[in-house]
Amino acid sequence: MSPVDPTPAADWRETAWNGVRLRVPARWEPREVGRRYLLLASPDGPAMELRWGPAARKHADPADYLRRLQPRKGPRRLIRPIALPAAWQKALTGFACQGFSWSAGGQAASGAVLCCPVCRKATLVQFFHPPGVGAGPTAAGVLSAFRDHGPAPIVVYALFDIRAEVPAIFQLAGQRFEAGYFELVFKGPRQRLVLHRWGPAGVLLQQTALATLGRRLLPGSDGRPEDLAIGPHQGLEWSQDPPQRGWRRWWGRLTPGERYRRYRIWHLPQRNRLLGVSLEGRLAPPYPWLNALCQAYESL
Amino acid sequence: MKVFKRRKTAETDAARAASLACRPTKNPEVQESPLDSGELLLAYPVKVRPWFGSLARRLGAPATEVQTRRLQLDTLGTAAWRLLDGRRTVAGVVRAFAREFQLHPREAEVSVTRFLKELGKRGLIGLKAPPGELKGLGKK
Repeated sequence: MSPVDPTPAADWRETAWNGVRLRVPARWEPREVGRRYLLLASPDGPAMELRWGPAARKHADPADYLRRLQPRKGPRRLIRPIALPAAWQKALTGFACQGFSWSAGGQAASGAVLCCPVCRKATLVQFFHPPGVGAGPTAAGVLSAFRDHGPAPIVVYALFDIRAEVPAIFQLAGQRFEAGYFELVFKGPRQRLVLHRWGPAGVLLQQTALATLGRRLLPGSDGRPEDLAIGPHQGLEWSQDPPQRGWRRWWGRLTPGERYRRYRIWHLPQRNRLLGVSLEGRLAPPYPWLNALCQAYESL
Repeated sequence: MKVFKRRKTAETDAARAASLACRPTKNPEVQESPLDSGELLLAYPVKVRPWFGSLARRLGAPATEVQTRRLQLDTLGTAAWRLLDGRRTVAGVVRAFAREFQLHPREAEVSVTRFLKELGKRGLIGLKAPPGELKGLGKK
């Protein structure tokens, strides 16, 4: 299913990554993921590309960005500025927009450069389609749900089968999507947060208890874990705090490295997944947001 | 922002589609032995390289041209191996594997294709390409 074909209303799903949220046809899967980059592909080939970054100023001109995108050397593809289709204009109210299209070597795309005056983000979005055919109603549907900032102080991450709501103080520092293991790494003020997702849980837990497996999967999780209920799921937590008395307290303050550690792992039997959260840093508890993060972290 | 850099997606998509349409077929000389754990032990013949054979003979080993090697599959490998019935395509195996372990389709595709590649390297399976699809398979 390409952007040219219409998509039934039920076959859409949320995709959110590092501040950008949209709804796309369920068959569009992430093909390439970067810190501020997404390439979504349908089984027929690339469907949509999204690239974003901070804009130079509040009322940045999207036409400027488009001019900069013209290749200076190599095989030239003519990027033609075009007027936005009416459906796109309606969908992108609130953004300063400049439409464009290009066609080269059997590939073609239509898209837009968007500048948001609220969050000062510049976004390039383009939909791939066969040459001579414009982007269809699906593209307008995708753009109508496009958001580059949210009202709440959280950032939503929804990719593949995971969905997490991370406090905005944490910045995405890295990601890994491997068969059997997903990892999102965030850096915050004096803290490092890692979201893990393992599968299939039934195989991982075949001859191993959750505590033993957690110790193996979460490096640094030593000692005896405590039982922890995360929503309806049973989990375990390892916590390590520095000594509060004596010379070791002062020694810990003087030496670098994380001093407070929290490791959580829980099992989602219906989804056949294990989810985990690691929090390490020099910031002392309490972490009031940690429970909310764990409860909202899910495998779809 | 290098958005318009040349991509090889069209070619790689064609090669991927061609690979997924192939039918993996087990080597009939592979012997399966189920273990108590439910996993499988595969025994398969391997031709001894001439220089290694002559060295072995000089060291007093029996002069055999064919050696038997063994490969123990884990739970996931065993499940994937059992899905190779000669009728399913790679895409079909991926779908069945994803359904069995509730895996994300892309995740299942990566792990199954990696597994099949490993089996192919060892000569445990062959891939039957559907007619007319051989062209795309040669491209990287």
